[in-house]
Formats: sequence, structure tokens, C-alpha cells
Amino acid sequence: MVTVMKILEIIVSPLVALIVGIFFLGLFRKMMARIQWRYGPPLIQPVIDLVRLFNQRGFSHGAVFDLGIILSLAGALVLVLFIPIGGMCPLANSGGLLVILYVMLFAPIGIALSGGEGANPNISIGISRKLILTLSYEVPFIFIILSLMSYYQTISIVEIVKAQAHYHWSLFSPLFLSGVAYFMILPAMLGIRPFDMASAPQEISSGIDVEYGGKYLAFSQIEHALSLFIVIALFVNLFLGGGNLPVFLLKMLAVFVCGVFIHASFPRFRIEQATKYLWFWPTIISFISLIVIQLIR
Amino acid sequence: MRELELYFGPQHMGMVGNFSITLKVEGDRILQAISNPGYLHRGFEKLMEYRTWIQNFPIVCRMNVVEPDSMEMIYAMGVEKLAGLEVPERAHYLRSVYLELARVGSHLFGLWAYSNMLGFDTVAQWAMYHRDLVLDLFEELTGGRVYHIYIWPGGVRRDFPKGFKDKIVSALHSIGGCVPDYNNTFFENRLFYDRAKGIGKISQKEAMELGAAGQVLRATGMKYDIRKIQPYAAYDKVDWEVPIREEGDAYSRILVIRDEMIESVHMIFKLLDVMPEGPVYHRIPNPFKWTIPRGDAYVRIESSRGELGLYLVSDGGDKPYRAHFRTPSYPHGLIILERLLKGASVADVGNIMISLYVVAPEIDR
Repeated sequence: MVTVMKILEIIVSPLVALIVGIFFLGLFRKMMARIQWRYGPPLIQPVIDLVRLFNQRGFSHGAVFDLGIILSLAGALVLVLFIPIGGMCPLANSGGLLVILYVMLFAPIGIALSGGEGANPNISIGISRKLILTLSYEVPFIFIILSLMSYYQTISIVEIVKAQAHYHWSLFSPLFLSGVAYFMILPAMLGIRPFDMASAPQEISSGIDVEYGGKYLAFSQIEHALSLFIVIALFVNLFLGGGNLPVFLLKMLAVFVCGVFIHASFPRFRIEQATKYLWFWPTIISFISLIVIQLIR
Repeated sequence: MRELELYFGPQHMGMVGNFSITLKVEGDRILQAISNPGYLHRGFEKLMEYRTWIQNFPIVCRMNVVEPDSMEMIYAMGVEKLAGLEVPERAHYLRSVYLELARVGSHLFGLWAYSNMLGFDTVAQWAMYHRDLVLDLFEELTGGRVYHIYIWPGGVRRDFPKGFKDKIVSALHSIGGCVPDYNNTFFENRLFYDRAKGIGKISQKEAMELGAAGQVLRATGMKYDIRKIQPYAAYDKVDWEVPIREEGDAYSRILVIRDEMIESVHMIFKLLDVMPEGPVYHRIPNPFKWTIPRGDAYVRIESSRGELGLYLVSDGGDKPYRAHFRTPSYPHGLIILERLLKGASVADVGNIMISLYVVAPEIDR
């Protein structure tokens, strides 16, 4: 029975991630439209787009171009299995936060591999921006993860969620500063404004997405939806106490709505401004948090 | 590092209008920029030599999609000067109100383009909504939203319809009421300040040498506005200020645009208050047989982008012998843009281009 449940979880959790991620993409467009005094597309527009894109012919630039996008999609799919989704976590006992730190780099590296084959100058600028951005937010992110691991004395996310259920959310514990720092780097991890310079349409013609069409663009969209889900789900699990499935999804929605408001109210950073910002406040705050945790533990 | 050739336009999502810039980049730095405005070349000036004086109105409008009204005005002024036509007093006021409305619409379009270029869709869409309010007014007045042909040699084509004054006031109130919102979200936004401050900086001396006009020149601290220096229409009948800034960068240029927009709104209110009654145009002879005595004339006005000039020659016939425009986008889009882009970052190409307010069809006529 346990084995059947495990298999079921392995099938269901990526599906939940995909559905929620794509719903968020639709909601994103609708909310942005309403903020901008427009009517906006229907909520299921991303689904319509995906169906159409899968029926279109894509153009490949070679084997690495294909493999890169598959690698980033696979990285996102595997990552979903390590994240508890409302008490459902198929790979709870295998590595936890360390694996997540590692696998989260698959998406940018896969896109870099794939784009490098495209030989379009816009892509190379997009990739360099994406990798610099990743490097920038990884520094505070590692401090945050270290604080969490040393506070709860575990690397398992399931354990962290359980500890929060018994006591209180990490956000309202000595980990408060880490939570603030995570929230500050959240837009950079999601790739929304002010950190959407890697896919800036007005500057580099959508950068990393410019050579994708048809199925490739569809895969890229799915990867985008999944990474949207992963980053928000990780925040909800680590700092907002997880919860059962409906509560978990509601908390995700709340974080997502904050993200939309941030996206709607800022212009885009230049890449060096983004790095300067990410290596300053979030890094300092998360580092102070790490020291505080070490002192009280 | 590898040197790359990057095409910014015409097929580029950041390009507004039919224009392209070929960039030579090394990493993120631009080594050389060459602008090419020829994608919308339709030979306007030559076409004008084959059409009668009145038939030329639809052509001059199409030189500038964003603000065709200043083109109508300058052509009408040129024809009036050549033919010695008088314009009734009320028509002067109507022209001023109409041109200032067009300036507000044009600056809102500029605000749309600039905020959109920095990835700030929210403000961009708000500006577009407000521009639509102005276009609705034009639609009621003339029947056209973009190209209006309202100004005519000898006056304007018709008087304001009944209740139109109130509609202007209410539209401008709803635009002016949102200025604090624009300030909070856009002009005083720290991120926008960081993006625009110090970008595309040009000194007053350099700007004058390169033939800059309009906001580009006024943002360097020079109080140069044709409406003040050589008043036309009814601009000398009311009190108004020429907004200037000292810094000469992209940030000060967009602030000059904002201040001008506010000033224009105030000016329209003042003009509407003191507008006299009377006829709105002097009859011109049958347009098909209208010949204008031999001679030449140079007229200039202040369009929303800077000084606009027209040299018009008549050989005594029913068509212009030669028409030549001096458009503000020419020095801005070709000379100053190429110079400012040298050494800039790829992320700032659109930023600098839009802050200079380049309208491509104006350059290659």
C-alpha cells in the first residue's frame, strides 16, 4: 500500500505543480491587465497557447539545443519531487535542501547550453545576464539555507515543515531576517521585474527565448511555470509553515499576489544594478541572520 | 572579447517605429552605432511638388504619426505667408488649443514609449489610456483619431461643436488628476531614477553645436522655445512658462516632457477662458484653381519634439515648386543618438533613443 501511495505521489505532485504553475501564469496576465486598466486575456490563455505551440513545428539548432531545454525541464520536474506539496513529498528522505540547492542550477545551465547553440547575439547577452543573476541571488540564498539548516538541525524540508507545525512559522522565529532576505531575492529567483533583464523584450528581444518556437517555446513555458511553482512553494514550506493542500495553495497564492504587485510597480534593473542590490541588502541581512542563529544555537 | 554585430530594429521588440540601429558591441559595451531611418521613406517632399496646395495636407500629416497636427500647422502657416492670407482672431485661439491638445497627446505617447522601454508596462498602459482620451476629443472634432487635418490655410476647418469645451476640460482634469500617480509610480521611483540618471548626458554647448532642439536642448538649461521667441497662433496672448532642467541627461529630458505636459494643460485652460467669439476662417479661392504668387517663405513652430521648420517656394503655379522641412528628429536621431550610444551599455540603447524622442518618418522624407 505504501509503495502504491509513493508511486501515486510521484505522478500526482508534478501534475499539481504544472496545473498550479500554469494557472499562476494565467492569473499573472489577468492581474497585470487589471492593474493596467485593461481587460486582459482569459485565465486559460496559457493552456490555449501551450496547445497551439505543441501543434506548431519547432526549429532546432542541433542536438545540444534540444538537450539543453530538456535538461532544464527535467531539472524542474525532478525538483518538484523533493518539495513537500501539502504533506505530499515523494522523495522526502533523499537529500532535502542540499539536493534542491544543487538541482536548482539545472534550469539556468540547461538554458545556457541550449542558447549557446543558437548563436544569436541576443541569446548570448541573455544567457550572460541569466547566469550573473543566478550567481547574484545564490549568495544570499546559500546563507538563508545555512541559517535554516543550523536552526532546525536538519537538511530535510519535511522535518522543517513538521517543526513549524508544532511550534510557529519560521518567519515569526529567530529566522525572521532570513525570511525577509528570501522575500527580497524572490523576484530575482522568479525572474520577474525588476529582475527580468534576462528576457527583456525591449532590450534584447526576449533574450533567452528568442530562438525558441513551437514545441521548444512550449517546453520553455512549462519550465517557467514549474520554476514559478518551485520558488514560491519553497518559500511557503520554509517560512510560512507549509500546511495541508488547500492551506498550502492559499499561502502560495498570497505570496504570488505579492509578486505580481512587485512586478507591476517597478521598471527593470540593469544587470550590474541587480547584482549590486542582491549582494548588498539581502546578503547582509541573511548573513546577520546566519550569525544570530549561530549565536543562539 | 568577441566583437558582435547586433541589430536593434527594424525587427526588434524594443523598437518603436520604422527605424533601426546597427550596433557593434563588445560584451555589453557599444563600440559603434549606425542609425538607419530609411524604412519608411516615401519621398514626401518630392510628392508635394506634384499636388496642389490643398492636396498636400494629407501628405504633410503622414510625416509624423505621433503628432501630425504640428505638420498641418506649419504647412498652413507657410501657405498663408506665401499667399498673404489673414487668419481670424478666434482661429488663432482654436489653433493654439488644438496644438496644445496634440502636444499633450504626443507627450503621453512619449511617456508610454519611455516607460515601456524600461519594462514599466503599468505606467505605459496608463499613459496610453490618457492619450486615448485626447484622441476621443480629436475624433469628435474632426472625425479622425490620428490624422485630423483641422488646420487649414486661412483658419481652421470648423468651430468647436456645442459642449466641446466642457469635454476638453473634463478630459484634461482626468489626465491632470493622475499626475500625482505618475509621480509616485514613475518619476519619483528610485529604480527609474537609477536607470535614467546620468544616461545619455549631453552638454549645452554640444547640444547647440549638433543642432538639438526641444526637450533635448531645454534639458541642458537653455530656455529655447519658438512659442516664446517668435510667437505664432495665440501663444503670446496668455502667460506661460518654459520648463527647463540643467543636467542634460535622460532623466531631465523626461522631466521636461512631464513639466511641459502640465504647462500645456494649464495653457489650454487659460486659452479657453479668454477665447473671443467670431468667424473661424477666411474663405480661400477654389482650391482646384488656386495659384499662389511667386516667392519663398520660411516658417518655424515648436512641435512636441523641438523646432520644426519649413521652407516653401512657389513659382506662381497651383503647386509648390519646392518644400523642404527642418525636422527635430534629424539631428536627434542621426547625429546625437549615434554619438550618445558610443560607449553606452546594450541595456540603455532604447533608453537613450526614446529619451531623445526620435520619430523615424520625420528623418527620411
